[in-house]
Amino acid sequence: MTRRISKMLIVLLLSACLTGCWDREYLKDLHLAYTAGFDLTEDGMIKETTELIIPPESEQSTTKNEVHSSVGFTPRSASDNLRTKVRGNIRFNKNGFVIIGKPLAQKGISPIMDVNFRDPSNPTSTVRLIITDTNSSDLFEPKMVGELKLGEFINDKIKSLEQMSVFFPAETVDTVFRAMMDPGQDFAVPFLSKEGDNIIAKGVALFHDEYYSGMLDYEKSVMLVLLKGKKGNNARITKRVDTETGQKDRGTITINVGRKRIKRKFDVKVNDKGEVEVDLKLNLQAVVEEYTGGRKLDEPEIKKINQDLSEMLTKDAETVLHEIQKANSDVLGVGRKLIAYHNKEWKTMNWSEDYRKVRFRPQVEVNIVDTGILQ
Amino acid sequence: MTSESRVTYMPATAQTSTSSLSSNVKYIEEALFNTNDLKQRTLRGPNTSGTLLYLESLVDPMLIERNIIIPFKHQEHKELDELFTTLEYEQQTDLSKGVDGLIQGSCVYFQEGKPEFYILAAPAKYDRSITEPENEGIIRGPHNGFIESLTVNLHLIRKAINASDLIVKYYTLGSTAPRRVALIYLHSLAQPETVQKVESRLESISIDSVISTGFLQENMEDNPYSIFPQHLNSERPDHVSSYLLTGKIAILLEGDPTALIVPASFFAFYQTPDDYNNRWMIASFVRIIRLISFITAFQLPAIYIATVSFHSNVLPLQLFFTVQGSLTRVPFPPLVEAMLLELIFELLREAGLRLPSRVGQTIGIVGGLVIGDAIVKAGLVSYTMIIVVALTAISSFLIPSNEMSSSMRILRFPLMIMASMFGFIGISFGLTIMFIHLCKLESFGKPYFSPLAPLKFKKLKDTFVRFPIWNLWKKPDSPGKGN
Repeated sequence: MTRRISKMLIVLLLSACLTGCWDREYLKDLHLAYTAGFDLTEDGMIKETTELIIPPESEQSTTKNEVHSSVGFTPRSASDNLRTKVRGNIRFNKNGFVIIGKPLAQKGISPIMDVNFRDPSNPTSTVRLIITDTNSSDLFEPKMVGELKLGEFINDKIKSLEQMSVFFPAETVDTVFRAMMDPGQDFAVPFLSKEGDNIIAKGVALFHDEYYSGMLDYEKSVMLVLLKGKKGNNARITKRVDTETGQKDRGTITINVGRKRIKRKFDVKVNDKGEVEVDLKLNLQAVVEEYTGGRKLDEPEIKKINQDLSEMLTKDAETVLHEIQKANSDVLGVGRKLIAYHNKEWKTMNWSEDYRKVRFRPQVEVNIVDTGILQ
Repeated sequence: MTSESRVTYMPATAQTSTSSLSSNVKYIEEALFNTNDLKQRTLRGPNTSGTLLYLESLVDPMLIERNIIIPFKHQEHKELDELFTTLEYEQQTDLSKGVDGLIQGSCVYFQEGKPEFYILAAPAKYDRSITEPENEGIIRGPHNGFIESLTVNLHLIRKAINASDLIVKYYTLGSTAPRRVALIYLHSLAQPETVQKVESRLESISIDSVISTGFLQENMEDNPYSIFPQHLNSERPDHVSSYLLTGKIAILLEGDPTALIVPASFFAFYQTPDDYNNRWMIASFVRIIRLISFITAFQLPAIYIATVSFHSNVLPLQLFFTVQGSLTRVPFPPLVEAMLLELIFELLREAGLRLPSRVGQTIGIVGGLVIGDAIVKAGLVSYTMIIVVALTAISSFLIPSNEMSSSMRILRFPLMIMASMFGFIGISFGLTIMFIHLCKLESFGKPYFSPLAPLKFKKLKDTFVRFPIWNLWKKPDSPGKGN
């Protein structure tokens, strides 16, 4: 009897002790993929390009990176093919970016992202989605940018631009998934391109559903962020306000609207004819950071500049809204509002068609509250 | 000596003395098995003569001379009862009492031709001076400490607490070598039930000899199979008296400078007298540091093992590469690596404890320089593991109580094994089991994990932080409501 019990105990103990082992994944055996790019090959396959970080030989030396690419039907099969090429166990658990080439993005990104969403061991909330002008593999060409590895470079660049309100709030794979599943909401992600050897942030790529449908340039990206009512630490806008000077470097003003609170009014209405009308009022409080005009920024002058800037920015807003409408990308979430407040009308609509018919009435009001320590 | 109650020690069967001096002396000699340090001296006076017996290793010659021999020589027809000037004096006919007196440091005087004899106290006191205990040093506050004499220790407590309701109760424990044990408490503050519990447990101890307070401790614990100590101990009179003033009970043993304080709570092991000697903000800061050390002392290696073997994605990217870089050359799994280093550390610690202090420095060099550096150069363990184990070691030294520190050292091994098997989940299960045990544990009927379980908000003021003393607590207003 006691022998049986002791045998049972040993079995129980062993099974308890051994169950955890299959989840074990020693840090020293991991090979980290920090950046992954996806493209479409000519024969319709997925090409995956990955930046692998090679652990240092000892604590003192620094890490190195390697760039490898492989082809497969899906990202997972491409990664598996990649594993046959490189040493060791590739892991995406510290993955920072998923870069997708424009040609592939036009055909839809949901098949590419599927593995990210489906397998919980893949990180999502910290992974940023990026679209490139051409094939993403072009971006990996020089694998070092100065002292920085490619991934680090892109990371620094994106993070600083987020603080400058070019891309804000940060769109990660998580938020993109949510927007993709939501019929009343689209998204915009950073758009990079390669000019010579330089990687340049061109603006944002607009998406309709899961398809790339257009882009906004750098300045319009800032406007888009403001229209969303969001801002990073800084949001700078430069305009020419004083044309009397005649010289190009005179008469411009740079205001920062990211320092103060933004008041935003976003009204979605459906009128009697069933048309959707959107009133977007933006009240920006600006801090003057640069002013090269001839006149002193006194009370009446500020009033005048306020008026000029308000007009210009309202016009800018109109352009931005027009462009996102053209791209059929409901970044501002008008559809979400309709679902929530005008559900009856929403059900009768075909949003991918009707979004273009929405009438936006933007109104931006600029109010200079601070001119710095000069008047 | 009226309050003294004999618990386990039963005196030899009563033997009445006779009027024959030589037979009395012979009886005593035989009762002590003709030990060589039993001395006798014949005293002859003008009226009477007799024999004085004493154990020379236990008596003070000065006292005998002054209080017994000189009065005897100068007796002027006085009765013997009035003659001797010793502090304790007893007339007896029971010879076994005489034997008891002798081994407690008294002299026995047998009178020629009379059955009554006298037990005269003349104990020798070779006590060391009252110094600060080495392992409980403080920066500010009284710098005295208990010594190996119960009387002196009681004196120190009495001097610190000048209260009429400070009660001392003596017990004698040990059947072969009886020793005195003193129970001290403040009548108005200690809870009667707790006092009763301590008394009944002391009385129920049946043991042939009590070498140190550790014997008492193990015989009185609520749960002897628990890893956590359930008695607080201290060699500081100020520490002990501060606990007495909160209604705790202290147990002291003759010949041992350590006082046991009961009932103990978990957080008491993380407090020092310095907490109350410093100003409250500093004291609170130090307490928080100490509680952080509680977490690092037994969890850090486990967290490290879990991180590098299961959850490496919790590391920030730069740290990821640093840790990975230091691990690449290590051939062992993290658990083996950690166990190896912990083993080395425990070896060094134990060796350092046994070595005389003059050789002690060698251990530092061997341990720190030779093993610490060479083991990494040889590629057996990683630098990060050394950092983790060193931090753990330092944290475990931060715990004021040596007993609790040892418990924490042992506790980290099961946690490390859990971590290596199940990662963070293993750690959380380990901690859950530990906390369940802590919540369930009692010290003399009092919850051990109080004031967290059961939760008492008011007492938290003096647990993780220390509020200013005027804000701390109101003294219990009715008797028996203390602690």
